[in-house]
Amino acid sequence: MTGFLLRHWRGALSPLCAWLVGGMLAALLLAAGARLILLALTLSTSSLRVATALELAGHGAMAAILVWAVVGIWRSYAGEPNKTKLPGRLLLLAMLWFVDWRLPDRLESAKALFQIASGHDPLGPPAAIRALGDRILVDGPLSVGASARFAEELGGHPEVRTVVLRSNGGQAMEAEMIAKAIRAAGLDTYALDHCVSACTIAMAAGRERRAAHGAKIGFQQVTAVGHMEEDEDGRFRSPVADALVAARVDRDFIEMATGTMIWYPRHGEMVDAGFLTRQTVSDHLADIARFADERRGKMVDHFLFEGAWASAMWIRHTYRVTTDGEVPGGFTFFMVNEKVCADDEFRSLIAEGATFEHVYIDRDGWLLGRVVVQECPEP
Amino acid sequence: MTDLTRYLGQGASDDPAAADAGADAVADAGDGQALLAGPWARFWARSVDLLVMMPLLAVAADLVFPALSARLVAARVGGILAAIMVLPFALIADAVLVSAWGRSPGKMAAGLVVRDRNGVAPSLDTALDRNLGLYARGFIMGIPILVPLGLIASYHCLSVRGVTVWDEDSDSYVVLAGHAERPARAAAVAVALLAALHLAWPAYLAVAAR
Repeated sequence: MTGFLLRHWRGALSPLCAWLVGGMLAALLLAAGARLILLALTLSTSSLRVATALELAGHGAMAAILVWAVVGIWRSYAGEPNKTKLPGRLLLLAMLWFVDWRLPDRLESAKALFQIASGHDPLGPPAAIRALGDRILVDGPLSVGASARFAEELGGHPEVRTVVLRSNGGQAMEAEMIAKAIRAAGLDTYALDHCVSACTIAMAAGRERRAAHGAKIGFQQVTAVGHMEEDEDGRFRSPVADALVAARVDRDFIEMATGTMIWYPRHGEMVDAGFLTRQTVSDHLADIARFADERRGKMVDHFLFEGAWASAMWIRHTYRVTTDGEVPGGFTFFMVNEKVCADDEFRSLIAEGATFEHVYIDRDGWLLGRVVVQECPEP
Repeated sequence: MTDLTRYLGQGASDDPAAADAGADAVADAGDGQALLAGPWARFWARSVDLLVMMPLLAVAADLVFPALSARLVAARVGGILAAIMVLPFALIADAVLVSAWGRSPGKMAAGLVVRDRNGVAPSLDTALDRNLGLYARGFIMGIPILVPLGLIASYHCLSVRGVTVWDEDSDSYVVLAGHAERPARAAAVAVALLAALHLAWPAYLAVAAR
C-alpha cells in the first residue's frame, strides 16, 4: 500500500492507472478511511473544541488526499508524448477548477473552525447563565463554553426545574450538550422572548416546553459548527431535525423548521405540532400578564399603561387617562370588547373560561370605567 | 469452453517464472490446452463481484460525500443513480484485484482466473484497460436500459467466439482455474449476497441517517 502511495506520488504509474486507481479509487478509499476515523473520534468527544479540531483535521486530510491525487496524476504524464501530456494535464486542470470553485467558502469555514478550536469563538463570549430560584436563565449566544457554564450552574442549584432561554442561537454542539443536561435532569424549558436557531435544540429537550406570550421562536437548519448550510443538503440530518425528532414533533413541522431561512411559526402551530406542550389557561394568562407588564409606563392607544396582573383564570390590564377629558375622543368601552375578541389567542382563552378585564382610571386614580370580557361573539 | 492455446500462445513468455506462475493457476485439459470460461460462469462471477464491491464502495462514498448521498437516498431513482456512479469504482477495484491475484471474489467462487497472453495475471494497466472496455461495451456505462443489450451482446460473443471484445482488446482472457467452472456455486453466492444486502442495506441507511 505504502509502495503504491509513493509510486503514485512520484508519478511512476501510467496516466491511466494514476487517474483511475490513484485519483479515483485510492483517493475515495483514503478519504473514506480518514472520515471514518474522524467520525469515530468526534462521536466519542463531548467537547466542541475537540470536535472542531477533528473537523479541521478532516478538512486537512481531504486537502492532502486531493493534493496527493492531483500531483500523482500530473507527474504521471512526465514521460508521455506531448499529444497525450497536454490534453491529460488540461483535463486535470479543468477538473481542479471544478473541485476548487468553493475554495473561498472552504477557507472561510476553516478559519471559523480554527477560531472555535482555539477557543476564540467568532460568536463572542458565551451566554450569561444564572440560577434564580427554581429557574435557570440562559441569556445570550450558545458559543464555546456555554454548555460548561450551564452544567456548572445547574450542578450548584439542584432546585432548578425550568430552563429559561433567551438566545439567538450559536454552536449546535453547545446547544446539544445543554439539551443533554436538560434531558438528564428532566427539566422544563421556557422561551422568554426569543429563542432562535441552535437555541431551539436546547428548547426541544424540555419535558414541558412553554413560551412567553409573544416570544419569537425561530427555526432553521444549523450544521455541526452552527453555520447555515448553503442549500438543502442533508436537511434531515441536521442537529435541529434530530432534536425535533427526539421531541416527537410533527414531521411536516420538522421539514419547515430545517430550511435555510429562519422560520418563526405561530405559537398555535408550535402547540399543534407538539413542539410547545399545551399550556394551562392560568399559565398562559400569567405569561400574557408578564409580557404585557414590560410595557408598563408606555402609551397604549392614547392611554398610559399602568400594568397587568393575572390570577388563575382572570387577567386585568389597567390604563390611566392622561388627557384632561374623561377618555380620549372616539374611544368607547365597547371597542375594548371588539379588540380583545379580535385576537385569536385571547378569543381561544376566553372560550376556555378566561376573563379579560380592562380597567380605566383618571389621573387621580379614580375609576372611570371597567370592561369585563367573558364571551366573544361567533366570528 | 474453448481451446485457449491460440490465445495464450501455449504459455510462451519471456519471463519463465511468470510463465510458470501462469501454468500453476490455469486449468489444463490434460492435453496442454487451457480452457476459456463460459458465459454463465462469467456472468455469475461478475454478479458476485459487483454485489461485493458496490455496497462497500457505496458506503465509502457515503462517508466522503454525505450530502450527495442524502440527496440520492431521498430521490426516487436515487438507488439507480448511485449504482451508475459507483459502478466505475467497482470496476477499478476489480482491476486492482485481478492485476494482483488474477482473481476477484466472484471469479474465485466460479472457479475462474484472468490471464494475459503469457499466462500470468494481467498488469494493472492491462486490467484497467480490460475493465474500461467492459464498462463501455459490456455495461454500456451502467445506463439501465442499455445494460441488458450489453449483456446479450457479451453472451453472443462468448457463445460464438469464446471471448469478448475487451478480452481481445486487452489480450487477457478468463480461463478455468481448476478442472471445471462452477457457475452454480457463483450463482448461489450471488443470491446469498443479494439476500444479505436486501436485509443489511436498509439497516445501514437507518444507522447512517442517525
